[in-house]
Amino acid sequence: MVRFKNRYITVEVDPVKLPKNEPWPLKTSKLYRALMAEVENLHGDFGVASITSGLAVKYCNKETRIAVIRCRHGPHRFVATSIPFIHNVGKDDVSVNTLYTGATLHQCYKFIKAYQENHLQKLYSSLKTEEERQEFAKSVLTLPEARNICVRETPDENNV
Amino acid sequence: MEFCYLDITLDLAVEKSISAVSFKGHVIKCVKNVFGEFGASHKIDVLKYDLINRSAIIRCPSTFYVKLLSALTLSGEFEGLACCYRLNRSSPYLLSLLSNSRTYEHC
Repeated sequence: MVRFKNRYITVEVDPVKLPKNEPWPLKTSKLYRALMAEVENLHGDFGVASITSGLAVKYCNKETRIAVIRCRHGPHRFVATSIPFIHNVGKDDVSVNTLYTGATLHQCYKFIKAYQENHLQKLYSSLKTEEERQEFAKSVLTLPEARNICVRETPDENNV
Repeated sequence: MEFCYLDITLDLAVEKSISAVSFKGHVIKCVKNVFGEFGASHKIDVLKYDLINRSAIIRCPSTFYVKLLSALTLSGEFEGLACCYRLNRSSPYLLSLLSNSRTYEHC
């Protein structure tokens, strides 16, 4: 029996018009739709058919604007090549950067943690009070949504 | 770059003559539908076009041959009319499209 291989792509979705430190509600369904539209544009019906099974946006963080996209190994190339061409998520203009591609969700979280700690160090100077700093550190480092996914795999709401 | 040459005919539900430009446009549109911008970026040339029969000899990179053929097979509409592509002959050499071994008579 051969197991299914997945690839998890960590991306940073940056709204062009919004300032860096302002939270931006990034929805998984919106990112999913934007990704599908871009793959259809770049790789056509063949690309969409290849990625439809297995594609899901697993995690979104509104503070750091980081998202994790899961896709099957093989067609992940279609997803990876389409990501830089995404310019709109919902009605917002965005630029999307690929940060990391991993084989497991755990590897992605290890990367995100290191990345966010680095991000936190940079933003510490802009926060004035200690309370603000603690609150920000909590929101950035706890990965509340991520922990839920790690414990139990929820059925994909995106594929409906 | 190695090429592949295809002798194809466009069959339409209604008899209608179309120009070489719109013929090539339709071929590229078919490829774009199935394989997107990435597919349409491949080099496809119409070398010879017969206006009356709507048949043409087209050239594509040999690595793209299978994809082009599948895109043409999956096309079903030309400007609102039902259509299909017939592949008469294909070869990696243009010269071999001249002769037909099936009708060849030995002396």
